[in-house]
Amino acid sequence: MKALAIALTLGTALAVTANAQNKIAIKGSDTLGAKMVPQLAEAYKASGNDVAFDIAAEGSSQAFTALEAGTADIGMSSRSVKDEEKNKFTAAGKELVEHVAGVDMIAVIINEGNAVADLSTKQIEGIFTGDISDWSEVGGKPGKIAVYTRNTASGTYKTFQELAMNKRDYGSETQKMAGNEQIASEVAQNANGIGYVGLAYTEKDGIKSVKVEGVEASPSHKEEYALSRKLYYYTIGEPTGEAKKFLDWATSAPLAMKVIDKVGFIPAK
Amino acid sequence: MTTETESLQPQIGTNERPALDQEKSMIEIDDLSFSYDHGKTDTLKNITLKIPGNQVTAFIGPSGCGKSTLLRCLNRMNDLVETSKITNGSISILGEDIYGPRVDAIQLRKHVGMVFQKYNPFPKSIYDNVSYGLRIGGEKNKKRLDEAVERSLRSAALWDEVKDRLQSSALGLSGGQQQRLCIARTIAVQPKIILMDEPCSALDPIATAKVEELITELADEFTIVIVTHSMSQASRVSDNTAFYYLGELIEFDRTQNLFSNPSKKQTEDYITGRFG
Amino acid sequence: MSKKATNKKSRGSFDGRGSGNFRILGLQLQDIIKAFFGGNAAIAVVVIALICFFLAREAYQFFPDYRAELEVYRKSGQEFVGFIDDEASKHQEIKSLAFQAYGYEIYHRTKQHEQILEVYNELRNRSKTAAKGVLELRQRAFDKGDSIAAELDPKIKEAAEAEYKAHNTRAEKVISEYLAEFTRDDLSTASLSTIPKEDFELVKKSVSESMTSKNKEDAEFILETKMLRDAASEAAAKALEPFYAGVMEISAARNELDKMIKELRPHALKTKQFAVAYESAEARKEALAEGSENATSEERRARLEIESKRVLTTPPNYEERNQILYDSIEAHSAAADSMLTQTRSGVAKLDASMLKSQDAIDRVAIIQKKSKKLSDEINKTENALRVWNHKEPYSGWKTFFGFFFGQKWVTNSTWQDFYGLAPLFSGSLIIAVIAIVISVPFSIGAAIYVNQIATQFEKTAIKPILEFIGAIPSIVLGLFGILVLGDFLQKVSAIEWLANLLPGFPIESRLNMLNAGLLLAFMAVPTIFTLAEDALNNVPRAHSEASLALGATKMQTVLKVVFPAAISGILAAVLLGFGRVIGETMVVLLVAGNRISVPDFTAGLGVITQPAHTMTGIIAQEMGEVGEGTLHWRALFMVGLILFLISLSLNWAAQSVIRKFSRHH
Ligand SMILES: Nc1ncnc2c1ncn2[C@@H]1O[C@H](COP(=O)(O)OP(=O)(O)O)[C@@H](O)[C@H]1O
Ligand SMILES: [Mg+2]
Repeated sequence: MKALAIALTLGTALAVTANAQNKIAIKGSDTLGAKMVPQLAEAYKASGNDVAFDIAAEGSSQAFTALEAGTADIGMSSRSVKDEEKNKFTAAGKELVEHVAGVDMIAVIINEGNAVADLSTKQIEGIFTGDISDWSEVGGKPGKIAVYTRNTASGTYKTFQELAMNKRDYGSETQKMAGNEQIASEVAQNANGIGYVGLAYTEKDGIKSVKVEGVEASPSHKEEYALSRKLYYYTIGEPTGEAKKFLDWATSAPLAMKVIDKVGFIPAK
Repeated sequence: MTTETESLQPQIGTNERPALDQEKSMIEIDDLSFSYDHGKTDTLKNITLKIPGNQVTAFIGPSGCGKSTLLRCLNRMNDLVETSKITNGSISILGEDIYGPRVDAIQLRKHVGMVFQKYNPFPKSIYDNVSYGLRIGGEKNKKRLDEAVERSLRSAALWDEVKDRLQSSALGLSGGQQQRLCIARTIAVQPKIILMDEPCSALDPIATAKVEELITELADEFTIVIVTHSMSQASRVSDNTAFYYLGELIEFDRTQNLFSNPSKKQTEDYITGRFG
Repeated sequence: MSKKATNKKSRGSFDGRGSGNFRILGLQLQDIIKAFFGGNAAIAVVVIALICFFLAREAYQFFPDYRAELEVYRKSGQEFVGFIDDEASKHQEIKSLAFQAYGYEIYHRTKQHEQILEVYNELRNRSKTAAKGVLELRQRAFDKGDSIAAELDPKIKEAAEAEYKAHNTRAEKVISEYLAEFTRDDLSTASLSTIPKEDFELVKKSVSESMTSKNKEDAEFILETKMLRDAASEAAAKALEPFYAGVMEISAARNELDKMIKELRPHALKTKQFAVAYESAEARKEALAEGSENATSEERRARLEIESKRVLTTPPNYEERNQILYDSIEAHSAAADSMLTQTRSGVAKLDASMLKSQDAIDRVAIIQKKSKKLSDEINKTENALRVWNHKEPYSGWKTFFGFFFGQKWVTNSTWQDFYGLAPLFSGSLIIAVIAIVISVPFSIGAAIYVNQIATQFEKTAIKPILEFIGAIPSIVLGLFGILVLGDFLQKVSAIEWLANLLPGFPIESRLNMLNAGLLLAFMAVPTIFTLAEDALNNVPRAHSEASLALGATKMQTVLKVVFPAAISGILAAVLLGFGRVIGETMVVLLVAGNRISVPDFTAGLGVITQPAHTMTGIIAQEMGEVGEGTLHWRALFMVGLILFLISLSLNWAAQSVIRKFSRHH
């Protein structure tokens, strides 16, 4: 962590002094572009690479339009490419190459004293939409379920709706909390509580994460876990030159992995 | 001082009444000193006075001489001033030391009523004002309350004026009526003594005349002590008059005597209007 | 000094010249002074008017916009699908209850084992907390022994292992000491303390065993219990097979209807998307037309015109798209009928005589009631579908009514946003009422005490302390509410006799209206106290003197004379306190629990322990994310406007109360 901090401050210093020759343009998703990629870029420069970055984050779709228009070297996307987007590249005789940037994982947490260990996505949908209101319906100790969610301003609110709730609306009995931390502490406090948090918050006292469709929410299960989504980089053809160097570093270097971990995602490797 | 008052007594004597010192006294003040500041300075100094029952006794004296203070000692209203203290002497009413351990100030005030300088009826109905004292005393019987209200209002010569509007607010009455209502409120609890602190000072001459008339009537039934700054009022309504100066009792005598034949220079100066 | 001098001088010259001659810009000095002070008052009025205007400007468009949006909701057929959805949710209630009944029964039949496991769980967690320090040290020692350095250097490994052992022994000691003290009555839930004593001892043993064994495996007894539980659960399931068949039949009854919904929902959503796209196209076209009109160069105008022509302007063909909905009415009847018959046949199989758990039996009774009502629901839906017409305009009344009395506040929805004030208003109101009910006796009691009874010393001590409360930042109180008061209330509410005595106890969620109300009560104290004390102070001393002179006690005087004389001021104080409380934001946002639903009043007074959302809270929470000028934005301003009007009318009420009573004096 300390090394990282030094690297980051150093990076800022370097960025000011170095007269960068090479430039990498990265555009697309704001999930990646908000924190993760800018910090990766800083750390990358701090590790002695003389490159300038042009990062724009307006949404995943931008990744493909920018790549198509040739204004980006690397596209960032929090979803995999859609068919119609892919078709455009195919039609132009180009090949779109996918690189996994990291994994975004949402853990469903319950009170430590709750014996329920496993929930299906259907059950999670039922619980969060309000169709299922008692733990006895999902094989737990009888008791009215108290559902804690993020508030509507949160991106996770929407992501969870898409991943776990079939895009249905949250039940009216759900309680909207300010952040991961608050959800975790309310669930820890309420024997009948359930909520969702980023993976980093599952370590808190008094809570545990449930398996979803039998899969534990842990970095090692990122592939099968239902409530996770991959985050991607896209390039046209296999990357070359500076872009390749950066992508290789960003998907494998220990420092890069640390950065990814720190901003709350799971490194792909 | 004591010697002074005592020395007064042989001079007292009128035809109509027995000598003042021979009357059966209602209130006996004995060498009383009183302080508002924990005893640092005495506002009242060594006052000795015997006030006879069923008569009107007036307190006169220049402003600030302690008339009200002495009056408020008689029903222990001064207890409300935290820093006040009796520094010497005692007061007995009907032979009971009112500052003694056997006397409760609350009970005492039921026997020693008070009418204030500025009429102060409660912001309630006329009926509620008059019945207030009885109600807090625990009286709940409607009939007895009605009777007491009527009796008191009649005694205060107010009944005819208000009997049709008993339930309307007391604050709608004229100043003189309000003051008489306060008197009615006081006599409703049937005290033995009524203390009046300049009861007419806020009233116009006609209202004053009515109240004065009332005071003389009430003297049959009650012992009345009245503070007044008006010497003519004192001579009109009172049987006896006490003159105070700078916290001391200068002279106490039959009113007639005191005004016609003051025995002290200060009294004479005061009643002839040379100061005060 | 010099200022004084000049003042004097100017006054001198002023005197000298005479008031008529001293003028600035043609105004007399008095006029200027008057204008200055009058101006301050005018500024206040202007600011209030501006706030009003600003809120109203943002909010007034809300109703027309909302109505337009609901009209799209109707035209696109979403309303139609919504009817079926509602019908389905009625069935969902029955289904949910059926599963619950089954779950309760199974739990009941395995309770004896479950109880042991629950006690085990609780004891483990508690001992973990009790031995937290040692366990951390032990973990550190373990990590050290597991590190690469230890692999390389056996000495380190040895030392680490010794350390681990030492900590483990200590942990064992701490835990066994903790457990030795622990009795069944210390368990958090009363129902658990009925566990047999020998089982309890075995659980204790298992806890300390598992916590100090290196691989942290569960002890024999626990594994055995788990097996027994599984066996019991299996046996119960077997015994309840016919019952479960009923549950499954109920569950499956909706399949056909679900299939329909699954088809129609995306279809309606698609229509809506078309409608939205079309609407924005209109706007875009207008903007382009305007742009071309104002264009400076001929070339640019031509380009804008071409672009404008390219924008799609045909509205979705609602007639055509909704045909599928109209056509599905018959299919719906069939699906609903089959749902009804299957549900009934399923419910018939829920034989309550098979059940031992009272909770399960109760639920079966409710299911029977609800399933009888199901046919009414279906008929209602049928009728609604038959008379439904996408062309019918959405009435302004319905929009208006839907806002003020709507039970749903749903935003950011993929289906349809609804703005119903009822849940927020009721939350705000209940919290404010709790706060006032608690706060009033305390603050007025304190005011009476300080004003009438306290000694001078007490006065100087109490007044500033109470007034200081007003200076505490509400965020601090909010955090206190979450971390301290919430836990405290929850713990207290779990005490058995209290839980039996008071409604809403034990408290489920530590963030709830009671918690928020208590904090707000605290916050309202300075307002109510100060104003009430002022009111008492304004009662002339003559009144209390008169009362005391009549032989009344201090207390009688306060209650019968002073208090009634000050009642108008006190009432005003309470009203203003109410205004203070209903406008408070931070505390309710943090502590009220933010559940957007109308509280369940069937809980009686216990309703106060439920979580709720508030009008102030929703503005604070959602304002950050909404785009300017959107419907959501307008809805939030509408809520703000209503809050503002509430405060305004509370103030007005307070003032008119004072006016009315002071006329009496
Ligand atoms: N409550 C009080 N506390 C302290 N001093 C008082 C109080 N009331 C009166 N005094 C003082 O006691 C003296 C006598 O006052 P008072 O009895 O009212 O005179 P009078 O009624 O003769 O005009 C005055 O100097 C007055 O300032
Ligand atoms: Mg006086």
